[in-house]
Amino acid sequence: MTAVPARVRYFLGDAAAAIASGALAASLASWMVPAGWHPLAGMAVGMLAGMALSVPCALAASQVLGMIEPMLQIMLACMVAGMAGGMQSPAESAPGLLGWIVRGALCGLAASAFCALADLGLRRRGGE
Amino acid sequence: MTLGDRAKWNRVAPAYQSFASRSAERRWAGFKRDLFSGMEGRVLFLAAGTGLDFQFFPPGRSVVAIDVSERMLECAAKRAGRYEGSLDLQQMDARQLALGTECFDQAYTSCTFCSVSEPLRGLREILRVLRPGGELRMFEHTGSRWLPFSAMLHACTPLARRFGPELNRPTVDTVRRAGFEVSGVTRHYLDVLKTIEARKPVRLPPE
Repeated sequence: MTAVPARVRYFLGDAAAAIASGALAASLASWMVPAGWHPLAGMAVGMLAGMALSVPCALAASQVLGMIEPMLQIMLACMVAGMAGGMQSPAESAPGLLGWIVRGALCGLAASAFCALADLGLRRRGGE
Repeated sequence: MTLGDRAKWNRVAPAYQSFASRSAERRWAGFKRDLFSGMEGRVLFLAAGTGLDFQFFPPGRSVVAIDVSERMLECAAKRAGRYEGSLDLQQMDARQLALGTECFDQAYTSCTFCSVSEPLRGLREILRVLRPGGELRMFEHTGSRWLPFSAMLHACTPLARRFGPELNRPTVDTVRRAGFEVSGVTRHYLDVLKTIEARKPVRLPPE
């Protein structure tokens, strides 16, 4: 593992943390929002649940990965996964727990990729 | 910083020592080494905290390091003892530096102005103690100009400020407003983590 450059290790670590957090957030939100709710209400509750969950997730990740970089990715992942979980949970076609874990993990992966691309874009633009 | 800040940082010092910082220091070591590599002359280092940054100071420099919290400085004292140079720790409020005017060549901050209660006042104090042409070099996390991240940082700040820093500050603008000439901003991550280089103008504009 030491042969892998630190930057790549941190990138993979951040992504793993965002994936795990996203999976948790989607599962939590889908569990919290009962059937029969309006999707928008479910989305709002899911987003709040995701944001609340992102705090302990970010604190746990900070022990290994640092503070700011994983925190931003985890927050984004939890927010999006929570919204998705809360919005779709009342639908009849909602997946089971495993489905939410997979969907939440994909949200985490997307959040991590979004942050990496945004960061790359800012670096290309250079300093002020 | 207010008395409330002092009490807050005294309260979190033991946890900060073990919880909040080591992994971040490891990750940011390269940025910090670069930042401090330019240390020369008489140097002021603000918000020494528990002294985690001392390891990045080049040896043989003359540094006055301040912090508002005596508990933080107690933790920092052990690390200061290992520094191969002159490192003088003093308890002091960044907004009201008990230091002479124009007596430092450089000032350094590291994740400091996320926490100083009145950042503009603190920066004006740094401007006062720096000699004309003196340098201010900062490694800070700030708010972001990118909307999704800016929104998240604004949302988290009310909670974060209870235990530590604010996450949404426009520090580069504040440095300019304090009267510094900003010579460079290097973004390290998403316009949130950045190194800021500024200089005290040789001739200050009239008030």
